[in-house]
Amino acid sequence: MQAISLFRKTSHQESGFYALFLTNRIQMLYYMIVMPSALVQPYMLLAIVAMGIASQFCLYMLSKWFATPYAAQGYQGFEKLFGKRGIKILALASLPLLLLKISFISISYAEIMQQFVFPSMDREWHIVFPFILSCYLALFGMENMVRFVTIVFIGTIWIFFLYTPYFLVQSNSIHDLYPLIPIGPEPFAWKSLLLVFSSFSGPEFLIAISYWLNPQRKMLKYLTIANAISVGEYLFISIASLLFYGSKYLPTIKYPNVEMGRYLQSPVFERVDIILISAYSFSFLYSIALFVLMIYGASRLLGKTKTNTTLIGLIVSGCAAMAVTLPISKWFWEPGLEQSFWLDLQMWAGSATYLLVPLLVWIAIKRKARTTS
Amino acid sequence: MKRFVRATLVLLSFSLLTFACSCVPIPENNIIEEITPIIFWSVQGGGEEDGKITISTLVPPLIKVKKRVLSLKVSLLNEGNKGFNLTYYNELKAGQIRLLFVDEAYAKRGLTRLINTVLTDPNISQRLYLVITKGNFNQFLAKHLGETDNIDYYLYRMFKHYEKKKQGEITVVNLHQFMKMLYSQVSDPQLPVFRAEGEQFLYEGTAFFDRDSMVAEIRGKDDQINQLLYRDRFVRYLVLPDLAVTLGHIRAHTHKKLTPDLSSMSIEIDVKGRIDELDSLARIEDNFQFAALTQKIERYLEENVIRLLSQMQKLQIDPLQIGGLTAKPFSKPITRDTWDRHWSTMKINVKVRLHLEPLTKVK
Repeated sequence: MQAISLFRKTSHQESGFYALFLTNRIQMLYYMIVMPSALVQPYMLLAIVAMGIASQFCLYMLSKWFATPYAAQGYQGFEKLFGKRGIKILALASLPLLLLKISFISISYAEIMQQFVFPSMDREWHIVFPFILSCYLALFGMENMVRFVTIVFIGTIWIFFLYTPYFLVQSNSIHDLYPLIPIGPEPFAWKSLLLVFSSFSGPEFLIAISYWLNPQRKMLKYLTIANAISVGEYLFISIASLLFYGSKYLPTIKYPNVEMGRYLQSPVFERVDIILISAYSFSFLYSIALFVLMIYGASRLLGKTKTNTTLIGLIVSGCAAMAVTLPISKWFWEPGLEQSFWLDLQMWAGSATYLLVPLLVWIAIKRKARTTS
Repeated sequence: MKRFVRATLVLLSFSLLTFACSCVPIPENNIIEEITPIIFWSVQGGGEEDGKITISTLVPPLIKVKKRVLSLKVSLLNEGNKGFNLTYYNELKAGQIRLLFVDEAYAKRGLTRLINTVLTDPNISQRLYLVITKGNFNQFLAKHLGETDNIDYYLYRMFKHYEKKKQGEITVVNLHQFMKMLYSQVSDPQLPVFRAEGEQFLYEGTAFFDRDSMVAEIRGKDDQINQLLYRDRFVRYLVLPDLAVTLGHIRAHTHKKLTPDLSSMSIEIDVKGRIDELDSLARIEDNFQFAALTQKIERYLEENVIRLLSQMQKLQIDPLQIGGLTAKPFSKPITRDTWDRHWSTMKINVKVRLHLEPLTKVK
């Protein structure tokens, strides 16, 4: 068996932009899956802005971590902060969260794929093939993966511009965006707020790969830009879909932004949505690969870290993720009740980690600073 | 130990693969020679005998072969779709369906059931044109069975043409627009009406709906005015036979305004265009006469707009989406009942301003 080093680091260049692209892409993952149940009323647009600000708060705490010398030290940094036992507990806790995230993302994407592109094919196929592709991507090692995000970003950001025509459709009127504030006995929308917040989650996993990001003091700037781009994209697509469907019609549609893609017409190719869905897969595949690598890394922390990384180890991590995902997809993911259970679970897990992980790290840094001084 | 790990790995991946393979990928067979995409469905009847409807289509499209009309009496739309497959040697595919013709009688009973069926089919595009037909549509089809008579495709091209760039000759509404109008809290949809007569398929006007059922139909100049009022439209010719005038290349900008207490509405219409035809163009000799003519047309248009709107008020329908204007940034949206009550008694002020090109070159 050839020895490969997935987690080696060779260069030390500035990489604020990688952090920017990573943050933005991971934040934009959920949108097409989650949006329908979250943003059906015009005033929920304000929720996006509010949660964007809340997410900025989490990113601020994250940037504190990036500013410490521990972030650049990788494993040693963690060891200094939490101690050997602490790391093991953290790694153990992160595994189910990562597995849940992978399963949720890949099954939701597979469902869209199955519904719109290959309706007669079983959903499990749309999970197996992307997993194989993701594992292939992960083979290139963490450092290359981090650099690859530039291509992923450029390869998917144009989707954003596809939604501009919806602002110019004839049947639009500004009145579709009213009322802007919730009026009357509306059910309190805390759940939707949580959903939006969890859509912004994801960057907390950057802590695990901060070693490859060559962190520095200016990280907050890049994270803020990434967050602003995500807020902008969310707002843009929500306003477009509200204008296009109106707030009464929108709740009846499960995947508004995919359906909107179907309405686009090109003289060459009619099913623009197929291209759109395939393009979305770019960032989905990338994040699954990233998370699979993280699973491998975390499981190594639980065992022996000194040995070299192996191909088998990576494949086992991939298979483990697939072994969790496939049964969920096959037996526990019926549209309706069970699906919304997973959505709820992911929503809570995502929000909790996004809030707690930076907080935990921040507190650890504070404590460390106090004990050393 | 190593051997154990390797064996586990092989077993694990093998079991995962078999697990995945237990779900066989069966792709739909879409070999072009073996399928027949269809361009339209037409739905007739319904109600008379145990709710059965007749659905028909024309096959094959575009190929230069003698066509035939497929027609079936069914109780569900997709039952017809399935039935077609059983009576025709190719597999019919609904993926290319572009037009849905619905009989007037069916539309009067409500379109929701039919539309929902079409809407839930993921193969069918939201750009499907909806058309209300009168007369015997199947007979009209039967007259167009020649080898080169691609009547289905030509009909689609016609709608496509008039939809694009808002040509403004006929009303064109697709499925998405219909659904948006239907779902908007206080407004109602409208659809084009065509009459099939022998070999011809004539545009008659626009059908107004009360929620999902057709309640009225307007033609001729009412239809033209409706097109001017419904969003800012371009109308190639505005023919006013009563005044013996044709206005050409009309662009209308409509400003609708509701008073806060919903007791009255004012509409200001700016119409830009030119006089294309007059019983005698030379009759206009000076500016004074031109102004008088302009004023006469303005008064005439105002009267007709008011008449059209009061017809809508009487029926308590709102195909012009005026109710949408009641939405305010910081107040509660009103209910359908409240809107109906206010709308039916609303006072309407109309102001038409014509900006016509002066006449040149005429004697």
